Amino acid sequence: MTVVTTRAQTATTRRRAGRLSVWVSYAILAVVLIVVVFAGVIAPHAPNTQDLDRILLPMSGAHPLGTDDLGRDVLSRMLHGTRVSVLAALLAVAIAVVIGLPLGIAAGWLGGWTDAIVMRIVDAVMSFPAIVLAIGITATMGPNIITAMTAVGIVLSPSILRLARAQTMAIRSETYIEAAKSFGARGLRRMVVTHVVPNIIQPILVQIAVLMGFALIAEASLSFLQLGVQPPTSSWGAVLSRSYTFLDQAPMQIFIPGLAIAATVFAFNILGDEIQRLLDPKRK
Amino acid sequence: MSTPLLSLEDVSVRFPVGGRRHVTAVDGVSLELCEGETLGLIGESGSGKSTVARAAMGLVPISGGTVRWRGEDVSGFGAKERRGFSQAVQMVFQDPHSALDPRRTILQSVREPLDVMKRGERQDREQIAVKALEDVGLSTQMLSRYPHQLSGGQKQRANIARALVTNPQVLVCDESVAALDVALQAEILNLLQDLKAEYELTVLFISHDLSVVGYVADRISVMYLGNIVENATTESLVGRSLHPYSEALLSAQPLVHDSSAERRIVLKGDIPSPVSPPPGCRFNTRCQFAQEGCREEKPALLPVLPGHSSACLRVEELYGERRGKGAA
Repeated sequence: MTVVTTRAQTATTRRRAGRLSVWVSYAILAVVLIVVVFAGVIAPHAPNTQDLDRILLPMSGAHPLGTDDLGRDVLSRMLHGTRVSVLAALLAVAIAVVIGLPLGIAAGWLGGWTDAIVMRIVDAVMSFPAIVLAIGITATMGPNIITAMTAVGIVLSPSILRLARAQTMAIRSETYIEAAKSFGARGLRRMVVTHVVPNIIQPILVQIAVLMGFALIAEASLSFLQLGVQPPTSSWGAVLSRSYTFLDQAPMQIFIPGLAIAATVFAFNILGDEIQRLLDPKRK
Repeated sequence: MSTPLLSLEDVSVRFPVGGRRHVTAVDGVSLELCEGETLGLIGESGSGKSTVARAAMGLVPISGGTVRWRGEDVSGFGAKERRGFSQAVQMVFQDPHSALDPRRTILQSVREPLDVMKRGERQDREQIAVKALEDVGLSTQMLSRYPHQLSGGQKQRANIARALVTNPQVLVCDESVAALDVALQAEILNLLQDLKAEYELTVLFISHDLSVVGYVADRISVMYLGNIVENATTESLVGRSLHPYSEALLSAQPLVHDSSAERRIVLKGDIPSPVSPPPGCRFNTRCQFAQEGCREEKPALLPVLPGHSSACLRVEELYGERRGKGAA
């Protein structure tokens, strides 16, 4: 007898797989959040305490993830580094939103000269590869995680800006906007806050989740190049950079920050899809 | 005749279409909306009837002519008068779905005109909105719903309720039943008739559907390519049309008991582009009676019978009535 899988069955299976990845993502993000808040409590050792007698140890009871080249506990450095990495990513995304959202709405809503000027600036920013611009800025301003992530935020802002602009332009020609004008509604608060922002926020939130993943990678890349977090402060990128140098002595250590970055970026991307689903007004 | 509440005098609306070219969507249209009447504005797609409504509401800038509210030029209004005007003239849009913000509840949407005008206390506004929703026949359990949870008819009722909360004198209905099925159309039309009496409304009813306009309107203006071609009471227009275009429109109306096939006048081709309208009478390219003169002289809208004007050069030959005869 042949097994016939109907379309409905395939769809159900796919949906179950979808649900599983969502729960896994929630779990990852929950762990990350707990670590960000309680890093100091959870960590078995201080992150910067050196013990030069016990360098590059493999995993053991005393040091669950081993020790690095200065004898520091890798687990403790990862836990404290989580806080630095996540806050750095949040900073970059916050800057991107603060710049991109109002300018994007303004360009889309006002059109004309405002739009032309804003979009030319955006074109200029976008013509630089993100990491290269961040490297350039940190090279001139001096390596420092705040400067580096501000640069990343500026580089990421066009993606929010363009999305906000496109969404606003679509909303501007909706009949309910014309209806609001017909009974005399005008001005920023009435039109933009009441009608535009609630109707464009859904794709923006999705984009924010995706950018969080991007910003985490940017932090890791910049710290890996020693342009981000400065020693002795720990971050995922800093741990990655350190373990890369001693890859032949302690080959397992490079997987730890790598896995943390990959898992968290994955979780943020799934979160983005999930926000889209949850915020669909047709679900309410 | 009573004093016109809202009048358009020789109003033109032009839109830029790239480069230095313009579309004259509305070309020298005059309309008078008298207190208590229902004026039907009819024409096919692209004739400019919706633009007339938007020009009257101040939603599109007019490039010529004047819009008058109770005899006063609207363009000279200050902020306070402007507010009074937008409170007094409300509009019901064609597509009931897109006219409601998908992220706001029905109650929020219906209350919005009052919120914008900052009338009274929030509590009172809510009560007015609830009353309007009751008047249009929506139950209170609909208040907290979102537009997508309502049927098309319910959404259009909510739109009508929103137009009523400011207690307007004029209601502009722009193809307000076109997006609904026939049974619902009748329901909404009857509702509008009832509300008209209850709220003492004056209605400008725009539609492409003669049977709909004929049912609700006291007077009808027929538009073609940005011009009004005929203006008459409903009875006079339906009974004795004095313009070939109106005749064609009337003949397209399906009849239940009569075979409409033989009297049907089928217009050839599409409505010409308003970017480059034909010279002379705008209708000459599709008119079965068009002659040489129709391609040269543009006919003015002149009274033919009392209260019945037509813009056709050959009105005398075709209908045996002299132009200008009905002038008082």
